[in-house]
Amino acid sequence: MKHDTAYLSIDFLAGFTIFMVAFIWVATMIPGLFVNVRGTQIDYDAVAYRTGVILTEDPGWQVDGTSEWEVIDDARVPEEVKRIGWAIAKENPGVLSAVKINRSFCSTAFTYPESYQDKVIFGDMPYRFNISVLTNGTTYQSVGDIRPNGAYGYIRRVVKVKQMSDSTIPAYAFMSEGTSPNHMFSPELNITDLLFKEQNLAYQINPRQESTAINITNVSWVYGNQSNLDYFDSGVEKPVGTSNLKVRLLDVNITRLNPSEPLVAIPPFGHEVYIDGGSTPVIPRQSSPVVVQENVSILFNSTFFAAEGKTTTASRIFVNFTFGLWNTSNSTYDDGYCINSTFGNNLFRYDYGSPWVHEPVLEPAILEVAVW
Amino acid sequence: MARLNDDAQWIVLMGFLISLAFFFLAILLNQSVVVGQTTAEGVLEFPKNDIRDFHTEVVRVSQANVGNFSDPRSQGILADFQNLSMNRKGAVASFNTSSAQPGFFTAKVYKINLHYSNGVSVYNETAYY
Amino acid sequence: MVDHAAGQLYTIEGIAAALIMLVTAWIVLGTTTMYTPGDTHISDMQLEQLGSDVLAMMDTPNTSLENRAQTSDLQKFIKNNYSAVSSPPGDYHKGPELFNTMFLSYANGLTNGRADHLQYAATVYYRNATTPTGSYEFSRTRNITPGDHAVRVTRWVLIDNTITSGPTDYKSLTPAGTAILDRRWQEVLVEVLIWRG
Repeated sequence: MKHDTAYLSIDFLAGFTIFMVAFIWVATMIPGLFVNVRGTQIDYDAVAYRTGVILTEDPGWQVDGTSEWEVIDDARVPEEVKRIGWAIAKENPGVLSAVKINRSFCSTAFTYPESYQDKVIFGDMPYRFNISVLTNGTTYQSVGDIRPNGAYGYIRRVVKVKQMSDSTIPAYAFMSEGTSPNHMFSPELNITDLLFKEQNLAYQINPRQESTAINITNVSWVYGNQSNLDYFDSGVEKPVGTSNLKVRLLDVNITRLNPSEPLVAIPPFGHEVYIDGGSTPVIPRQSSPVVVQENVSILFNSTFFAAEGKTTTASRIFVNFTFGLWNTSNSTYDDGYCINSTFGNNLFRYDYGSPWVHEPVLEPAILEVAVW
Repeated sequence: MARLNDDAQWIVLMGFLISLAFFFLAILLNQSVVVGQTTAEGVLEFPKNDIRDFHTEVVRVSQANVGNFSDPRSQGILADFQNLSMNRKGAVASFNTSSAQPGFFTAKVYKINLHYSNGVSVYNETAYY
Repeated sequence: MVDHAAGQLYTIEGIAAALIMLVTAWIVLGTTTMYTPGDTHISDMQLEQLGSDVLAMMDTPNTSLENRAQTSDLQKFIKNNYSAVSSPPGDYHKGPELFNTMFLSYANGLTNGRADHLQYAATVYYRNATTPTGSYEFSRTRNITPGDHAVRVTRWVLIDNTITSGPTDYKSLTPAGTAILDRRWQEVLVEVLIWRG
């Protein structure tokens, strides 16, 4: 008997073939399932929105439990700054602090991209990002890659940025009424008062957290105001012409008065100033006085008064300018009329409502966050 | 036939298994698309800006000294809020004030109770200004 | 006796399995939907956040002085009839124009200096003694109907209509020049419809 029975029957082959054809056809449909999966695009927008909220509505966080992360110095930033946020306070969402913004773009403190991914963007995936700010149409700051041509997550926020306050004091408003050998002018910053009179942080003058500047202008008034100064030239009394008179700045120092404490000086003992619009600062000293023609400017940056041991929130700060009237014809200092605080009511208070103080102004700004 | 011939049932079972795997994959992928949509809708649905705006406005009214109900100039403000909020925004927004002198204040302040509800989110606040 | 129908089992099972898989595939692919970005409401969310931001910033006082007086740019524009104390002279009834300029500069600015193309239409809703909910059109960009995916943002504004100092009446005026608000402190709702055009 011949054994010619087949192993597989024809029926089996037919059935199995139909099954395999159907299986292959279905398997090729699987890529069609992935057509509308653009999950990353949707995720990026959510991350961009969250980053926008953190930057504009959150004041930030540091290990101390406060929101003053902008004063932490470079070396301690990676561990101590937990979250970067630019808002002045959580009660003022949308009002940003220029100090915080500038600090967060500081490449010495925050490395690109790890610091930002850690402290602003968050998330497990290392997103690429671009954060740009344009303040008042003029000042542009940004960090991150250039935006790609394709799709990316995006959010745009409109905010206001608090600018620094400063004061411009014209000499003619603070001239002494009588002649005096003492020409000391001491503008006062009463921290307690400044913090109490305006409780809304968006409008508050706070020298311990923001930059302040004092500019004394129109010093040339002093030259024209000396009708009485005479000098003796070989026994003959002669008037000092304005061409023989120079106003010299002899010393600039800062003193602090805390409650129940005596008046003490704060370092540096001899603060640098800018004379007549010059770009390099000088430190006037009794031994090396500086001639002033028109104006003197002193700038305190945002971390100066808050530094360790300098001031407290109850301090009164005096910035003392010591001027001298130098008579070039007999090389001596004269009594005369000058800018000073020792005469009458000539104390200048850096305060709200003063005609010579520019209070902090809020300027509009645009923030764009792109994540991909 | 004493028993059913179940020789080739493995083919059908294989087909069935593949169908189940297909369904499972499709469900996963379908749900992933909805993630982003619910994030955006969640943001749209929560009335963050409405609540903040309402709070700021009530504080402004109070600091302009007309949050005090006995002042005749302020009689209409609450009705303004309630009316316009219900008709235009579909939300209940109301407040009431009373003058208060809690122990830690020496000056006269107002105690304000705010209430906001849009049917989904409810916000209540007691503040002193 | 050989069962001649034995092999037909395989064929039938094969066809059944194929049918199951094909029907499954048809059902699954038939139910997947294509989401356009518009369906996901992301662009709506971005626009709504931007619009709220713009109105909030217009309603934020710029200096401590303005804050103590509780006045903001938006209040001045909606009032459209400034008291001489607090505004530059000659700008009495320019509220809609000033609103237009400020709103567009805040909403359309980009950080690279270029401009976006958002359009808006602003309406003011009020309640007065005769009308429970009245409205008037305040300002808009172009005289066209809003496009797709328009977003509505609102802001409350406090108006003081009690000032009648001197010969001039400082009651708020609509852009048409009519005075329809009551003579009291009043809250109005500014509604702005924003769309990409």
